[in-house]
Amino acid sequence: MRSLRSKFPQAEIHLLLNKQFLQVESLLNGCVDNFIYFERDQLQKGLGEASYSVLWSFHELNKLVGFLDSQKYETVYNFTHNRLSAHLIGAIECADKRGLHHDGAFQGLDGRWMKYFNDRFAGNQSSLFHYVELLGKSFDLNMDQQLNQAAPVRKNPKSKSVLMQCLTSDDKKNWGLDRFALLKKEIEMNLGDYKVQVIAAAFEREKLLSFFKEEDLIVCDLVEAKTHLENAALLITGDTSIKHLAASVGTPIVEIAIGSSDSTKTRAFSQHAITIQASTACYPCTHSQACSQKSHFCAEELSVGAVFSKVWDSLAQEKLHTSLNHRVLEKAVWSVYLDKEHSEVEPFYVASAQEFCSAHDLTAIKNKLPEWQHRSQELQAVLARIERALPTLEALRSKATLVNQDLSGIILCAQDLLRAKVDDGGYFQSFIEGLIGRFASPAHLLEKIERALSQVRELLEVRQNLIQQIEMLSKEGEFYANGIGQLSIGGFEETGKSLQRDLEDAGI
Amino acid sequence: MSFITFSENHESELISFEDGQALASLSNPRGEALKWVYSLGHLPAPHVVILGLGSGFQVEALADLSPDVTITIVESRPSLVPVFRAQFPDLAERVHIIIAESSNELMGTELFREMAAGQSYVVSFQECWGDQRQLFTDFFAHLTGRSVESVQYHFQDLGINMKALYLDQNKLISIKEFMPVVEASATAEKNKQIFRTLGELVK
Repeated sequence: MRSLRSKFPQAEIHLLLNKQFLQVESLLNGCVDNFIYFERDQLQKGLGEASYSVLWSFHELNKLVGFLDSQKYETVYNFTHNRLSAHLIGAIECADKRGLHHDGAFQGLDGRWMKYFNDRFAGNQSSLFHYVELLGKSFDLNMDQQLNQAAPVRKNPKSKSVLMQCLTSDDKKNWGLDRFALLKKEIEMNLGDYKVQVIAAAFEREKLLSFFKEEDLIVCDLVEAKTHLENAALLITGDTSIKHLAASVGTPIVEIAIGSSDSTKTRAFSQHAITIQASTACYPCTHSQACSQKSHFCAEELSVGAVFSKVWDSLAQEKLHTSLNHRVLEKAVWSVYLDKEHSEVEPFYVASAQEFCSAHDLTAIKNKLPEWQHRSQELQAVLARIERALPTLEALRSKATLVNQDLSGIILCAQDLLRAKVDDGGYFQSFIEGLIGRFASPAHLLEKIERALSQVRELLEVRQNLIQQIEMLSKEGEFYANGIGQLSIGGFEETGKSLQRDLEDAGI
Repeated sequence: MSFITFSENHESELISFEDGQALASLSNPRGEALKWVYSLGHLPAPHVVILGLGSGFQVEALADLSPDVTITIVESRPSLVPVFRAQFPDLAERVHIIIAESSNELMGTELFREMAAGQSYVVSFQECWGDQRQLFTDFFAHLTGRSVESVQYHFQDLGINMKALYLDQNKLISIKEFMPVVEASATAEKNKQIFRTLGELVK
C-alpha cells in the first residue's frame, strides 16, 4: 500500500478488505483514504444457516457492489489474487482492472511476472521470489524501495528489550515453547542487560503460562503490539503476522521458518531480518495438513544454540551476507527473463550483470562461475534429450488411444530430471506440469509441451548470456593485470641487454 | 383440526395446550423462553419472523431482549391469538401475527412477498409447534426461500427460471443446488458474478 501511495501521491485510495482484519486500519495511516469492509463471516453465515433467506447474502453483496460502483473507480487492483476477489472485481463496473478478475472468463494474467506469480502461488510450487517482490513486479510497484529503506527512526534506539512471538497459526510452524523458554534463559544469561518478554494474543495466554511467568507475557492486540515492536531491539518469531508488522516498523527480526512456512515466499520482507530455516527433506511441507513425519524433525533440527547465534548476530548488528548459492543466480536469470515483455525483446544483460556483481562478493562469484557454467551444460543436455524424445504430432495422431508408452521417452526424461535435482531454478516446471496436467487431445498436449520447451530454451539462453556477462564483469581488468604479470622477462631482453654495461666498453 | 385449551400454572400464567400437549414449559415458561432467545445469538436483521406462537412467552422474551427488532409471528392455530393478546397487552403494537393454515395460504400473504427481498430472519420456537411440526417445517422452508416452490418465486425477479432445476422436495435448498441454474440462466452478468462470488464462500 505504501508503494501504491508513493506511485500515486495525489490519488484517492480505497481499500476493500475482510472485516476480520479491521485492526490494520490503524496500521495503514496515510496510505489509505477509505476502508471498505467485506463481511465475509456474515455472508458465509447467510449462506450456511437456514434461518436466513436463501437470497440474504445475495442482497447484502449486491448492496456492497452497488456502493463500490457508486464510487466510480478509475482503476481497481486485485492484490488478493484469488477466485473470490476475481469474481467480486468482475461484478464491479470499472474500465481499468488490474490483476486477476473474471469478466466472462478469468483475465488479468498478462505479463510474465503476473503469470509467474499465478503459477507459483496458486499451489505449493516453489518460488525464487518473495510474495511481496512478485506482487510489486506484477503490478509495477517499486517494492525495492520498501525493502531498502533505512530503518525508521526508532523510538528507543538503545532498547534492551527482546520480544518473542512463540506461537503461530499452525502447530507445524511452532518451534516449541520449551525451546523458546530455553532461548530466553540463554539470552538473559549471556546478554545480561537484555530483557526477554513474550508477546501474545489473549487466547494464547493460558498455553504460554505453562512455560513462562505472568510478568514475562505482554498480552496485547495488533495496535498495542506495534508500539511494543517499535520499542524493541529484536523480535524472535515463527511465521506470524507479527513478523510482518515488525518488518513494517523496522524492528530487527530473527525468524524461525519451519513446517509449512516457506521462507522464500513469505519471510519477513525486511533488510533487518535474519531467517533461520529448516534443511530437512520434507521442508517446506504443505499447508493445512498434519506433519507427515514420525517426529517434528524440522523443529528438532534447529537447536537453541543455533537460534541464539543468530540472535547474537542481530543484536551485534553483524552485516548480513547473502550466501552465493545456485538460487541467487537462478533468481537473477528469472528476473531478466520476466522483465522481458516477450521473447523478441533483447534483455538488459549488462545492467543485470552489474547489479549482480555489485550485490555479491566478486571472488565468490569467480569461484562459482565454473559450477554455474557446468550446470548450464547439464540443463542444455536435458533440453536436447527431451527434444530428441519428443514425438511428432503425426506419430501421436496415428495412435487410436494415447497411452503412457507413447510418451515414454519424455516421461523418462522428466523422471531423470527430477531425480538428478539439477533444476534448482524451476526452468522445466511448466514442462513437468504440462506432462502431468490434463489435455484435450494429443495436439493440445504437444502444444503445451512445445510452449514449455520454448520457455526453457529462452531461459537457458538468458542464463548462458547472463553468466557470460557476469564473467566479463567479474574478471574486468584481470586480463590486463594477468597480461603484465605473465609477460616473460624475455620480452625485455633486448632492452635489458642494452641497459647492462657492455663489458668491452666497460674495459675501454 | 386440533383441540386447543389453556390452563394456569402455579404463577398464574396461562399455558396453552394442543390435544393435551403443553405448548410451553409448565413450571418455568419465562426461563425456557429466555434460554431460547439467548440461543439465537445476535439477530442479523431488523425484522424477525417467529414460527409458532404457542403460549407467547418466547415472543415476550425476544421483544424484551431485542427492543429494536420488528416481530412477525406465523401461526396456524387462530385460537391462540386472543389469549396471547390478553396475556401480553404491551406487545400489541410490537407484534404482528399472521394466521396461515396451509402453505398455499402462507404463500398468498404479503409477508411471503416481503421475504423475497431477503432482509428478514426466520426463527423457530419448536417447543410450541405441538402437532403442527410438519406444517411449520414447510413454512420455514417457504419463508426462507429454501423450498422448491419458494425458490422459484424468489428467483423470478432475477430472471432465473428455477423450474429447470431438479430439486429435492424434502430438503432445504442451498446455494450449491441452484448455482448451475444461475450459470445457465438469462439473468444479468452482474448477478451471475455476485452468485459466483458467493459460490466461492461455500467451497
